[in-house]
Amino acid sequence: MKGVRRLWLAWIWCCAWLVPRWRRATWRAQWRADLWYYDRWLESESVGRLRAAAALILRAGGALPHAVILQFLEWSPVMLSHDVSFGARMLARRPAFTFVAVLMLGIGIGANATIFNWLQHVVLQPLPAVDVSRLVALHGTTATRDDLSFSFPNFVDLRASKPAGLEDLIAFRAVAMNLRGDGEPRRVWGELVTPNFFDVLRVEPALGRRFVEADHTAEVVVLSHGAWQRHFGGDPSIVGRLITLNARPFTVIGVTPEGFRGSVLGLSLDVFVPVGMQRAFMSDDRLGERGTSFLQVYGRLQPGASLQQAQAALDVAAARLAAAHPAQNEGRGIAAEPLWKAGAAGMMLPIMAILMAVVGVVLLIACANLAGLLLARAAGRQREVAIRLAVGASRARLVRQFLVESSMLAVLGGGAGVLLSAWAAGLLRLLLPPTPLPIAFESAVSPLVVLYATGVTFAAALAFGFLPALRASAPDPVVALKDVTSAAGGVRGRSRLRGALVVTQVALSLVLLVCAALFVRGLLRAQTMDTGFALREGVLASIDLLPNGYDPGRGAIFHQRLLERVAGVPAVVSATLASNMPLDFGGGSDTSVAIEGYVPAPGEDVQVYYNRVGDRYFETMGIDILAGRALDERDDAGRPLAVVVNETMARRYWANQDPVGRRIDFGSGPAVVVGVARDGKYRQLTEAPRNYMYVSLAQVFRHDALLIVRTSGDPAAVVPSLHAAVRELDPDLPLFDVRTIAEHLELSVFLPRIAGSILAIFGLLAVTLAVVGLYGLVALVAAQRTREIGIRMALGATRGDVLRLVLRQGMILTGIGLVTGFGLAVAAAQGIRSQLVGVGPTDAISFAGPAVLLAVVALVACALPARAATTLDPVTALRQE
Amino acid sequence: MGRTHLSLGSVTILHAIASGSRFGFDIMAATGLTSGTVYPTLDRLEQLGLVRSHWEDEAAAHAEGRPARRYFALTARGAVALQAALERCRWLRPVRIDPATLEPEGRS
Repeated sequence: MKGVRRLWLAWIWCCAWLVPRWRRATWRAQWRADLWYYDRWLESESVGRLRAAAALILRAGGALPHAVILQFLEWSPVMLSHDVSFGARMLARRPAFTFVAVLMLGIGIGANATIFNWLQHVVLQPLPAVDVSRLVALHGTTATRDDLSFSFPNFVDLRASKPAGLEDLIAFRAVAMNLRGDGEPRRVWGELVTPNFFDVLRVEPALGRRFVEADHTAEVVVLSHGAWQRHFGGDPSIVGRLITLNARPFTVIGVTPEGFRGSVLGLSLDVFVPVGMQRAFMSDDRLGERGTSFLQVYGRLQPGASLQQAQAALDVAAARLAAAHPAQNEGRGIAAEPLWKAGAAGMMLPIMAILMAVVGVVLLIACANLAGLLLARAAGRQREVAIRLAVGASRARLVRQFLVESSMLAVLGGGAGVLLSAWAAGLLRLLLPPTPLPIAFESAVSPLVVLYATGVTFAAALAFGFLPALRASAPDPVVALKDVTSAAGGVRGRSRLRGALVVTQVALSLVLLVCAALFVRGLLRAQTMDTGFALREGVLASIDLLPNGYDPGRGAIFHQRLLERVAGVPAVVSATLASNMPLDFGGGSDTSVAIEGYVPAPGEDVQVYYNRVGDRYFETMGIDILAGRALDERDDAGRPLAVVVNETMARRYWANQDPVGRRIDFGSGPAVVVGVARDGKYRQLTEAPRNYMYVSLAQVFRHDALLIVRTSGDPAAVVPSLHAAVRELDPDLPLFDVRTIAEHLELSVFLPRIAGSILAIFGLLAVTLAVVGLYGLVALVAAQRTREIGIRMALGATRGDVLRLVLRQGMILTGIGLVTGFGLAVAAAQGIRSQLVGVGPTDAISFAGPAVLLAVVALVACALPARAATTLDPVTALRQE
Repeated sequence: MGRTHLSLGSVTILHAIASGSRFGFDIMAATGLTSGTVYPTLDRLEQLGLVRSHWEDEAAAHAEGRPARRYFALTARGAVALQAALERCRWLRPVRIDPATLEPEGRS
């Protein structure tokens, strides 16, 4: 009990400082007595030691609200309104100071609110318009994986077994499809869903009805509110209308409420059709295949049931499924996890964590700077403070006055920040990764963000206002009244605090700048990297034959005709098809390969990435063929499978031999190597040389392909002709994701570019703030030393001496800041190392550059007031009093 | 000062004092309110002039080896306020107040 007693005595002592002075002694005695009696009472009741300690701590906790309330009782409304109107006058009298302060705070708070807004949209509201309480995501698991989807028969059996603790289960799958309402066909994203989908998600349609069990195999569709508005102009008689999905007629039965965007985390989906219609939207008939997993599953916990209970029931169900269908389900389990852990939200968290850290640092710098400004101003107000103290104001009263002023600044800054974030929220769209998937993006500023900004604002007001307030309220009245500028002791102490703030700012801005430099340097290096293909001027577009019911035979013919037509378009140099474009993050599929004459080491699995390419691929892409021949129109379905391998693969598996003519098997039957292509970059610019091979799209057919067109002149000019070429062949087929090669190459450096820009913007912002702080400090100290400088000059000091004198202080602070920042930057660089392209985390130039830049800017910031000091007329300076 | 509307917490505490609980510890035990409520309320009631407090003789307390207590008692205004409040709070047991125990008004 001794330890606890000492603890609460210290606690009471601390809280006492908040109590108005005239009550303090009584207050302390009263609380000591209270706790003493309570302690005794606990002892007499023989309460357990731990519980007694907890009870005492709880009881002592009451001292804090008591102290705060007593402090507030002192704040009469009249006095507070005096404080506020006085503060307002002080702020209005210095518009420049007020403007700079509000701007700095606005930027700091705005940046925080913007990132927080995004965070809460992604993490806190994973599925808008859905009741997500008690919703859990189910995954299939094996010994090595925990993110598998479900086959339809497994889902049906699982649902029929009614696992205890779960109300009901739904299954769904995001699919791309072609929608034709009025006019042009469009590529849209939708979901295959079980009929109970909307019931379990608790979503009431805005128009029409939900699915019922009988809809399972009916050609019916529910549209999202957005799709209804965008594609059908909000037609009020939409329910009952026929629309065309993948060239089949579907009846619209309902429209979802506004904001609903489907059940897939992070995506925004527009069209909902029964899973029974799977055949119209995905290849093969999957509904009867227990081995074909393609559905995601959510369940809703029963009220009062825990995740653990449901998990136990799912374990039993999984064991039963494995026993009943060992061929497909042997060794597979089912795991449930809360929604916020699943899917895109989990993936986005690291990026958001970095962003939150960056904006936090910016706010910290802004607060440090503002604290510096307020300290400088406090120095100028010492006379006022001294007079007020002399006429009997209490220190608490003065602290309160200063805090009211800084709170007013914070409120203005917070308002500016919220406005700023309302504008900046849309900019975050730039941070979304480039993918054809319909990433959900919400930028509306929610009330929660305003609440958050308010919290940040008051934290900031305390952070930047408290220290200056304490400092300002404690001058020595005698000295201060005599003369502000010669109050040497006060000034030195004050500038030491400001010095520490400047050091912090220099250090933090160096950290941001170094990280930015690392990204930018990597980016520059990436742009000069050899991609392995020469194509720079041209167009890419996607096409998908599956929705419109092509079989491989008809598909191959369509591909061939399309290429013929595109080749006839003016300004098209050559055109081809491929299933992947290099540097698209994906880089093709990988497959196990058996190579004749190569004996894999024990346990070695020969995995090779490959791309399916059409006629004239190598010519269009500008990839050199080093031996043998390219794939061309000869390699069609009727001929033996042909393969072109890259240099690395040739060297790896046919060292010192000619690979041309050798046989391999990649799972589609025996194939012959017909050529060797030059190495390139396939997934991203930073990858090491890797095995790669090309197979013929006509021989290993795929429904979705990329049309790659090389043009002479403006690539965008041929786009209408490409659309026309497709329309002539099939009016129901959309050409989508049309982009130029230049745009595609931009995407390959997307992440480092975004990270680099953000860090550079915030870094430069931080440097500006730090330099303003430094300038202010040096100028202040120089002004305070005017007399001293005048004396020195009168005694024969040269201008150079004076310059050095003033510069020295500023540069020492900069030096300390740089050294501290350097250490922090080394640590930060290690933290972001996995995101860097083309540079290591110890890149010398990325460290030296920002350091030199900061040093130079700091030198200029110090030189300006220093120069002003040298032009002093000693006589004037000495007469200043 | 016009009529003060007393919170239920205040009424409960006034009631506890009137019923014989005379210092903070007793009041908390009698009312079940927490320390963070009782002490601020007592200060407010004293500021309103409804109760007065005084410290017990320190020497006496020391002789018994315990800290001095701060005793609270109703003022006449406090008694009126309590009676008025009890009209509103009929679920509280009525109490008989002996006028002799009432403190004179004014700050100590």
